[in-house]
Amino acid sequence: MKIFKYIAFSTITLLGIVSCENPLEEIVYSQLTPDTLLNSEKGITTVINSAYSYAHRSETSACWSAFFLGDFPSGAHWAKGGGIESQLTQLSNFTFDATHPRVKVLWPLYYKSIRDANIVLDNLNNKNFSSEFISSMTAEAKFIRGWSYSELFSLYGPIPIYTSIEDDPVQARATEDKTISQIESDLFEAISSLPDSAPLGKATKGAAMGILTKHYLNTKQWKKAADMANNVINSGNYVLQTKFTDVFAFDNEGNNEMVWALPKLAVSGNKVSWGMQALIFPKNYPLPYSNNAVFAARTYLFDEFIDSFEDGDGRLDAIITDWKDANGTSQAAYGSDLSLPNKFPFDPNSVGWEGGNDVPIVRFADILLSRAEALNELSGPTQESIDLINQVRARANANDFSLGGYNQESLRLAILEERKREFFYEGKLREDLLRHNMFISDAVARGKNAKSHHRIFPIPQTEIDANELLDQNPGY
Amino acid sequence: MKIKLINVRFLFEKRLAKTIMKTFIFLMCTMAFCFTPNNSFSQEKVIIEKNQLLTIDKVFKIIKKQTNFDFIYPRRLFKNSPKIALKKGEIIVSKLLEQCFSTNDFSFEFAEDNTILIVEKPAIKEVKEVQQIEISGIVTDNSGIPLPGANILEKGTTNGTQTDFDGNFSLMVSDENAILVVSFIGFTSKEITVGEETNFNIAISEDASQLDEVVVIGYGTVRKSDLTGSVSSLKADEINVGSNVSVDQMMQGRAAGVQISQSSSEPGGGMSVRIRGASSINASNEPLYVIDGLPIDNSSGISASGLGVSGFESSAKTAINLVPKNPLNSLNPNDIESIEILKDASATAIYGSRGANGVVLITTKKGDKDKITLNYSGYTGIQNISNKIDVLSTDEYINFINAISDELGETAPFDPAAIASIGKGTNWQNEIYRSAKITEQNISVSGGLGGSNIYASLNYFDQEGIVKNTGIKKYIGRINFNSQLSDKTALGFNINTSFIDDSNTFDGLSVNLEAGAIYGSLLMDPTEQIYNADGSFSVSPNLNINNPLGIIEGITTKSEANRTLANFFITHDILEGLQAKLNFGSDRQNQRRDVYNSTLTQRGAPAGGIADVTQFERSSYLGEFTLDYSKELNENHRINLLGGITYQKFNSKLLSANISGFPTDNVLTNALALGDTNNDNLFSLKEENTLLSYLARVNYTLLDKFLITGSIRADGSSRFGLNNKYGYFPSFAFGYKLTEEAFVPEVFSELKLRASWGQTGNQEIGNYASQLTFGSGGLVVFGNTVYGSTEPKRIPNSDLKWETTTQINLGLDFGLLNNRITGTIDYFKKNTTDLLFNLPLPSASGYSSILSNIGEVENSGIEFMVNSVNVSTPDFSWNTSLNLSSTRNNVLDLGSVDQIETGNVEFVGETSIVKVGSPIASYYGYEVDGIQQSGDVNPGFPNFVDQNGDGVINSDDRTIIGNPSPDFIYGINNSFQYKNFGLNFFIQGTEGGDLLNINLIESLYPANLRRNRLSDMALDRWTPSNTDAKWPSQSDSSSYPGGKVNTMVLQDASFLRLKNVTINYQVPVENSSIFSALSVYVTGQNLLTFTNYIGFDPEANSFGRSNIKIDYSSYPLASTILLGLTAKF
Repeated sequence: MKIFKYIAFSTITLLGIVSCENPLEEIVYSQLTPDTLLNSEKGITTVINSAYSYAHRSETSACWSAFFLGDFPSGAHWAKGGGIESQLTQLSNFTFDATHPRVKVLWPLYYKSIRDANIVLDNLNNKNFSSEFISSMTAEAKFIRGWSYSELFSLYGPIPIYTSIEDDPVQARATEDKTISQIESDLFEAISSLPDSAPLGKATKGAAMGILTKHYLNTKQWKKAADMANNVINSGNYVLQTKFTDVFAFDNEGNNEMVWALPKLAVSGNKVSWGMQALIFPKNYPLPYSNNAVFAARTYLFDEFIDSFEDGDGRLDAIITDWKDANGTSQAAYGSDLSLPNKFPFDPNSVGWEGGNDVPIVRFADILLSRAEALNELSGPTQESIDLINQVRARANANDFSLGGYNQESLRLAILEERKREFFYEGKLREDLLRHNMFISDAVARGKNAKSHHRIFPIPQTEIDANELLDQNPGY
Repeated sequence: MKIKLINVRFLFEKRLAKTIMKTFIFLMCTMAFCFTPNNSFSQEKVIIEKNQLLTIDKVFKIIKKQTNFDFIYPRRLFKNSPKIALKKGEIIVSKLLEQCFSTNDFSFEFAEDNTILIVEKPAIKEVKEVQQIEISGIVTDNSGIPLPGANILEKGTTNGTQTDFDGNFSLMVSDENAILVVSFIGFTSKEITVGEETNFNIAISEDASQLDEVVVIGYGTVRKSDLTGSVSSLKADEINVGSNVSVDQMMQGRAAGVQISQSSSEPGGGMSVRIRGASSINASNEPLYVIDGLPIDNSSGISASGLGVSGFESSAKTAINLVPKNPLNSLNPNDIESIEILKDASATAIYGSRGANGVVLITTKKGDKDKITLNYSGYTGIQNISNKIDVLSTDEYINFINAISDELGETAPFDPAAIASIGKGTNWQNEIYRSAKITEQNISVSGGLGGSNIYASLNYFDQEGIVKNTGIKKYIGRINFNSQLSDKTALGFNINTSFIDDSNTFDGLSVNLEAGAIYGSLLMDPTEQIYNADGSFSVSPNLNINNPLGIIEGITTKSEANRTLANFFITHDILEGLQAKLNFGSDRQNQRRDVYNSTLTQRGAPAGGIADVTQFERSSYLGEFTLDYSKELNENHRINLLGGITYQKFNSKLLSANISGFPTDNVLTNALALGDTNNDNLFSLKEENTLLSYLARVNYTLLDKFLITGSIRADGSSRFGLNNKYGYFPSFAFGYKLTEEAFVPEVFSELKLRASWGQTGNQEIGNYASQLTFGSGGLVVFGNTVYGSTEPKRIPNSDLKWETTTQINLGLDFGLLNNRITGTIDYFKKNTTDLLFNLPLPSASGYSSILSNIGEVENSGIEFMVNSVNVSTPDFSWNTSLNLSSTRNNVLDLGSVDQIETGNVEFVGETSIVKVGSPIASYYGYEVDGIQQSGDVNPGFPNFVDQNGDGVINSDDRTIIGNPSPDFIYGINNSFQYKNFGLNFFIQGTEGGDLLNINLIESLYPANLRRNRLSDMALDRWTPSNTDAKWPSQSDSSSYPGGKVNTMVLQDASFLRLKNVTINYQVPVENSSIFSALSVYVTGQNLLTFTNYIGFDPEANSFGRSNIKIDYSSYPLASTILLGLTAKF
């Protein structure tokens, strides 16, 4: 039949086009399949890099949020201007809720670092990998996971715990004890295999001990905190910088006061850079480098805080109390609660507002004060505590404390005050006040409508909506 | 432009008939000079193989094949002539020809070169007999329109005449027994015995087969009267194509149930098209476009600031602009022959997994004249902003800022000395807008010879934007070629190639220094000057906004896009009625976008200039084989069968590079290597996807009364999971021509019931969605070195498949009073299940969602369309067409979740919600029921409603506050014709939808005290002395409880727009030796808009084609006046 000849001819022609065996196979060109990626040490390394990237608070907005959540509800400073003003006002006034953009951003970030750490841990059982590689990857992945859980716990309280990528995506909240012990065990395991030193930003033994010290301190496990701080001190790897401003200076980045810091670089694209200065300095502030830029938002310190420093305290060098604008007009700052925190200098290599200031998390000064605080909680004022505090004060050219002047309660407050002066603008005040049960009472004293449930932040509403097993933190 | 009007076609055909006749006479005269008739009749014979019924064209083919004779005649001349019954055996050519011409108005002559000339039978033959009676009269069609050029012949003689241009005739006939045969092309002939009458009023009816205009459907055509599906058919030759800049704009407001919104009024800006509502939450809601049988990828290319490609955003520190350029820009509206919009499942199911959002079939012109005609059309015009947003003038601003500062207890910034130094300040909107030129030149050639015909066109289009430094230039060429190789085999090709060059703005969703000039012009302090004393652009010390002119001068963004659509096809008649068709197509796009953010801007300056180059290639190819079988079994049974296989492969490639830190701005993006290599970014991508499908359809007509259609497509897509590669999409439809029934009153000239059911799919989810893959993750710094990383891109779902839309449709087509009024009513209900839905996962799992087949969305609605000839007299006619449709959208199910908040805008938050029981992307926010008065807690504050009554205003008090989709949409077209003058005006509108204008939020919740405000808001604000104000006091709006998305800023986006007014004049060309037609026109577009909406355009959407609708510094609508000319040579 002629007709079949035509059909056959046409079909063959058409099938000629559809030549491959399985025309509907989806070939991946510009992404990687698990088979090709996870069977090589190099591939696993790129996945742990992603875990680090999130753990380093990869986006500008995450870096900012960690600071905002730590400092604005605790009344450390105030802000004005820019679209961000209303967000910060809500944090200061305790009117934030589970949809607040700054509350939302950190939750998925740390959990993504946990996801990638779990992918690494799940895929290390591979005969292609050397035992050294398996050991160091295990330690780094657990370090990252422990750090991320400790941050999440601090912000949101007890949380769902995922320890494998195979875990059911929908998980209930773990108990407080379970959360605390997960953080402890992850970091503890990491300490045993991590190296003493590594490029800044990578897990080290000291970094894990430093984070664990803070975890013990914030969960009021005083003995463990004091001991772990002592381990850091005894490691001999860390010292105080001689000058306070040197700690944050660009030419001194990666200095050995940084027990754990998040390294940043001024690279355009908003990926490994951030810019705190852009939210501090007014538009008419004379910017030191032509490649610097600032936003409309400004962040100010209260006069009362300036007054809390002794004259000559070197830490005042990191605060601008008066300045001249670009036209040379004097601008009073101190006197109107308009002093500008200048801890993080403008980056000479900034790309616009994007700078590369490293983000300090655990400084050696923090370890010293933490051990002092833990010892005081365990047994009241001792000479060791006073000496530890005085190491920090001496570096700032402040007068020594003496043991005779303090009982346990007054030393507790003195350490808190010292911590305020030492760690201002590092996002630490919230957890310090929480340890002293002063976070809410201080806020109420400032006239804010703070309630006890505000001790932790609400879990993002989208998370509550997506997880039927998860209840919101009480009060929200 | 207007929807197909039956009665307008009468007018048109009258003109067409005239034109054909004139052409013919012209041809005749020419030929009479060229050839000497050969009077010796050829005695050549041809062999007829069997008894058969053939068209005249086929008869000629037989003669041509068997003899040396050739024919010259217009191709469609015999379209309406009855078929010729041939008996098996030999027949002399001249006899055969006589038989051919016995039933029509033509005759033949043998010319030299063996050419047979087809000539019209002489209208007035030499009078051979003495005439006895003089009669006269008028010939009209059924609606009373006179028919010029109709033939009146005394039966059995050669005595006859033609009607004049007013339809009148007079004739001497032999006696009272004479019978008049009145005939006219396209009409049924009528015989009248003269009798005692001497004055006749003769009405003749249109030939029934003429009523059967052909409608293009998927993989074929169908007579309109046999159509069972819901199809809106727009014929370009009846609509005012000239002034439409894109193909989708041609459709806007013309078809019931089709909502086409101009997301951005920027030149070349994208459209959002929704056919019968939005049925998908996460996959695309845009229809499938099929151009001359080639389905094209209509997803957006590179947008002004980034891409429609997942995983990549350009980073030249310019705004996020989600409004894509219009992918149909590469078509020339003047090339369009018809647009068919397939709406119900009976029509769309043949497109299977791509049919759920409706299908738009675009058919381009063919060269179908027997001689070469040259057509020219062109216009030029001027565009102006149709309305600016009223912001505070310099004086108002000074007063307002001083007053607010007073209320806040701050020092008023403007003291008398400062005011004096400001002068009149700057009206920033006046600075960035301009009167902009627009012009189009179009030339086309159409014609054919022998069995081949060709249509070729060239188009040049140049539109400046009303925002300075924006605009588009298009160069489009097309060649359509068809050739009848033999009596069984034909081939053809269509090639369309375009080059588009455009410059964009950056306004979109970004804020502050990343935002564009339109944003800046609304918010910039009017007391600032444009330039500093040294001529550089001023920078406000108070505001974090770029100088709007600095942005316009300082950022260059150019795109060059090439796109070539081509298809080649061969048809072969295997048997009588059985035709095979092979169709190959290809669509190749190549686009490059260059963005340079210079040191004139506040983002570019510290970075030392930022350059961004993106190169994007996308192509698809198609291979298709179909078999079509048509058989008329007898008068009572007609059947058409279609079967086919089709394969289409799509691929895309992208390369993007970004670098900053240039020594100078001069090189723009032309020397990336000059930038600082510490600050560069690279990105590349390659993707493919494939469709392999099998299709079949049957159309069966019983007794010319019952119509049955069934179709099925089996669609395989590479995008779906291993377990679900193939989907099956069936449809059934039933039509019932009630006019054939006796019980239907005479008044109905046409009445047809239609009912259909069918399933279609949607696979527009991007590639690789079913697989686990790892892609590039974030960067990480160790020490001072930056490293890359990889991260998983999704949770895999190997069960992933298409969405399925099940649609029922009930329709009624009617014609009244001899089709003087025609119309269509349709009811539909579409249920989309197995939604391709990003089911939210706890982000604690590391993934925010998993793409799943979950949930259900329902759309139901009514569409109504009517055409009416209101007045029809020889000198004056008035036609109206109206369409109106209403679609209800409702989310029925979202699987394990009840709602998803969406539509995030920076510093505003989520604006919309997808919630069970509500329309997709309903506005979600706070209700405000008034302003607090003196004595209340916070006088001047808005009063937020405590929805849950817990005494606190927080996010739990949010509720659905509005719906972005209108209650109904409509279009009304009126056309008037008075002698040679025509007037056409087109009104389009929507009623009942809301639109969230972020510019209102910017004004109510300023990021900075010193930003400018909307006048309406600032001047009618609450103060102790203006207590019934429309707006709150705004002195401390950052302390307002609740949120920024609230009923104060949500607006009713209903509008009625006078979209198009055209006045044209047909220049009489009867005596011209140059023109065969010439017309001049003036068109006004967007001249009037009636709306309460505060903003540039209630149709705008800064989210582009998304279901989520917001307006944020949208490109303003332009009012346009065009002066145009069309000529035919």
